[in-house]
Amino acid sequence: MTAVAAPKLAAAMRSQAVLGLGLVVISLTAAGLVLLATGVNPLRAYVEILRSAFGSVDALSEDLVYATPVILTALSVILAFRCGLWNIGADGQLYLGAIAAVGLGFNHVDLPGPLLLPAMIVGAFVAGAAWAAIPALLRLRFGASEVIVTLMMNFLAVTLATYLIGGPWASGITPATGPIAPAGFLPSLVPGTRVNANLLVALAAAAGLAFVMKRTVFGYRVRTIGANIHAARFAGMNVDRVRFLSFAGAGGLAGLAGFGEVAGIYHDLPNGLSPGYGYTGIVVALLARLDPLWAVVVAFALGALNVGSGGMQRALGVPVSLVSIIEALLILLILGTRLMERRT
Amino acid sequence: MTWASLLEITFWIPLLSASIRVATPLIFAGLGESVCERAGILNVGVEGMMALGAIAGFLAAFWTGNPWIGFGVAIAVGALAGLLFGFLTVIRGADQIVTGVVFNIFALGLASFVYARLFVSAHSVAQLPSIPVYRVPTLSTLPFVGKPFFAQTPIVYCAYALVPVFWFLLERSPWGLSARAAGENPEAVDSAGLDVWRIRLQATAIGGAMAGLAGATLSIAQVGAYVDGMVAGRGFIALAIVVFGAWRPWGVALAALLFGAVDALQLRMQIGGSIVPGPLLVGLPYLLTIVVVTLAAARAGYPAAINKPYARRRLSRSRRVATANALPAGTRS
Amino acid sequence: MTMTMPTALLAGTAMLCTTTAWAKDVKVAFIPCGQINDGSWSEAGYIGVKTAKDNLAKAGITMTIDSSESLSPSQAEVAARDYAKRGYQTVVLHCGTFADAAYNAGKDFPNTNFLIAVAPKSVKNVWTYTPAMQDISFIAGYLAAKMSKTGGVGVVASFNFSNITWQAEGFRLGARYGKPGIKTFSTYINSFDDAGKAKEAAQAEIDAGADVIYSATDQASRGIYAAAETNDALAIASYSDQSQLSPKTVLTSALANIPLLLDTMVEGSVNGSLTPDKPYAVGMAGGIGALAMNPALVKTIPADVLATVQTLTADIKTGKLKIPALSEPGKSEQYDLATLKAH
Repeated sequence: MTAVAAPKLAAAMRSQAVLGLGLVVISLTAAGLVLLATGVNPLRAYVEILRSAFGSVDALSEDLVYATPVILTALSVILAFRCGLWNIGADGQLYLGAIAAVGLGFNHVDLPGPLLLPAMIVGAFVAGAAWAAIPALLRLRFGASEVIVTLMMNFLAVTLATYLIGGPWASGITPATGPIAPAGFLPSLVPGTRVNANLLVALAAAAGLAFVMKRTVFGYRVRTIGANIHAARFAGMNVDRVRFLSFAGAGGLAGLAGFGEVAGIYHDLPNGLSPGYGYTGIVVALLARLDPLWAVVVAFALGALNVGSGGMQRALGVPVSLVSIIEALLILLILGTRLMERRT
Repeated sequence: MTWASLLEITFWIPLLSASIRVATPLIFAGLGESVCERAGILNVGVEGMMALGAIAGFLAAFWTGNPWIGFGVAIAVGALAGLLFGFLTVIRGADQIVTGVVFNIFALGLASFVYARLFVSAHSVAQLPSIPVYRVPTLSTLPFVGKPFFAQTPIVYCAYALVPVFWFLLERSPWGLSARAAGENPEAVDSAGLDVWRIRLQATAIGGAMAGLAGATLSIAQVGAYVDGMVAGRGFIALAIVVFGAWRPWGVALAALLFGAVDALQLRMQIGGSIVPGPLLVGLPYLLTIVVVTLAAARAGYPAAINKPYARRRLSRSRRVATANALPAGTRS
Repeated sequence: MTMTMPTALLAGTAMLCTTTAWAKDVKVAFIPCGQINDGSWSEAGYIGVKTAKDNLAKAGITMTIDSSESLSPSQAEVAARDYAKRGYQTVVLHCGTFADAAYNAGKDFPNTNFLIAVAPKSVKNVWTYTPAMQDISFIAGYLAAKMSKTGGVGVVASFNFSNITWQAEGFRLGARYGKPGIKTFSTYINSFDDAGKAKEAAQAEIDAGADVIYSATDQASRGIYAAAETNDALAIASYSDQSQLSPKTVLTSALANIPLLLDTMVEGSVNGSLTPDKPYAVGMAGGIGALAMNPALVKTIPADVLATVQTLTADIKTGKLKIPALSEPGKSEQYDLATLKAH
């Protein structure tokens, strides 16, 4: 750091701090006004949000339960975005991962017990990657917009899951597939809570992606393509190959999220498995400025906000839709102030 | 539907009628979105804006007893939503895709909240009287195309009328020229002395207004009620239709019709009994969209400046400094 | 709605409640699939919980109700656990998708009662209740066949899931029973709320020759009424009485008596009178299922048809007629009508 840069940096940090503080005040006021309008004391609501998000081991564990799939879908979006492609399809890729995991765990594939879990992980990754490979191929080979194709493939993935749930893999009465074999259950990290070993998978994936991006030749290529695709081509890189592999890998990461929901939470595939984790992943990825490690932090923060405001909803008896309004308002404010956006 | 019925005209005429009905809200939303995208704004929030239009339009029609007031209110609410989206993405330069995704969460929550606040039970909200079909004299008696195209509700004729209007607006009017330039090369627009921000805000307002109209078409004209979640992904379909209509109003209308036709067809295939189970056939329109978007990709691509915030705008030096100082540090270019 | 007396559901158990289970103040949480004002499945359940509150008040028990609506399965489990932790006596998960949530939470909170709609089993403190609607939709199908002028009737269904398909196939079977050789259709729209698609699905069935359409959806049924209205066809509603929503088209509503079922389950759970490990799968024999006729249209139904509806109702209640739960679309077309009476 040079002597000239130091004051500049300090000034930048100061303005960031002022902005951050201002943002918190504005957000709390805006959400408070919404709450007041519905006859709820905002201060009580904030206390309830904090208590429900951080007040107990159970609360913290639920923050992590929410964060686990979101970390993976956010990593998925990051990996694709780093080489200039939008992955709006993490939700569908998550479903494919879940379908593969249930398919292996439910259909009595003759696997020795200890092999089932690894097979489910690999199967979920491959299924998510294969689902993502289609839009990647259509984009790189034919120029079809990956935004549109992945959006449509989300609908197709849900249609496929719905068909399996009601048709060939039906459990009988519940709108879910039959259960997977117990050998396919992921262990809980904290007994009595739902935090499962897929959190470790997600954290390892975040660390792994950060490492690949910073320290490997592949990561260097991805970064170069993301920064300047023409320069990358000019330097003789096989740009399409790198982008294809990244996008397929992105699908695989989202597939792992589906694996975790099946093996760690439900032990089957219920109708409505994902409440939009793939879309939340997009928000987290951008708020984390495409940094895999920050994505973990942001996913946890969003989990806390979600669990906290859910608890507030139950404690104060306000409609659930109010919770999504407040959450969305906060994020829109963050976007509007561009506090956490990546600057290029 | 049996294979033999494919040869009968009594199968095709209702199918064509259904295609047009399904296509109508998609045409509205698609026309608005094509203006947005041509000006360089990708509005993923169409879905949410349609939901706002659906609830606002329904409420206005329900309270006044006049569906046309409902459409007007829906257009106004949609335009406001579009301006809010424009404020965030154009003026604040927020990422368009993320803003759109979050806007959807916000708008769907808001629509649901308002409905739940106003009505203790859906039972207190009777069905709106349906808008009667108007048979266009002479034209509706034409063989084959007469009934499907010219025996529809007036809102369908609005869609027919708006296609050439948008064609003129985008392809022939001076405003369209500058909007397209704002989407391809905003710097050039700026140096020509035009205001990129203003043009883009106008585009998002138009896009929002049309999404609002599309939502109201669902709630007022087609169903006669508001139901949470009734937009059901049509906003995303509209995004796809814009691409496969190559960002041109006539293309958008044809794309919407094709989508409508496949959706109407899959429902009829379920009835006739097909080898593919009904619950899977529901996915047919999405599959087709992927195929067509891929085929269309060879012809045209997104406007060059899509999803790229434009930071500078042409102002007198003193005003530019004043504006810059009013902005948070991080947003200065 | 007909819910004047406790039915066979509670018969014999209602008086067995022990004093230990009595508490002066109880809290009940209600977690439905959709919104409690949806005019359909979720609202019907909410009405039942409120009825339980009123009935318990007469017995000197103050019950408070809180609800969390429109949750995903994962959020539903968070909510269920949270309510249990906050000391709620009974948590009602009024949505088949929440079965895992109920069983998981039930294991970790043994002192809370969990009620789960349409699930396979009752274990310990988790009880399931299933309205077996194929009984009443069979009668609705019979009525539809008799009212059809075109010789075709149809069902617009949300999802191909067990109890929804039972309804759809029960209706089609009933239509064949009423008029052998009648054309019956079913269409799935993969949504509870997409009223626009429901309208087009109904229109497609009308185009194919149907003139009475049964709704096996939730709020999407609004689209079915709109289609019926523009085509001068008839609609049959499900779950709750919806004739006032569209008085000219809704011929009758196939009630699952969900309010009664929920009232019974909630009161039972508060009183401690539910039989351990018993799944409450209730059809008309258990008092679940009735037709609420539209007062404006009931006079269009011929007297002999109304009389047969009464006979069928009695026969199904006594078990003389047994309506199968068919969970595969189209199965009713191959079903041998003669075996209905074989028992």
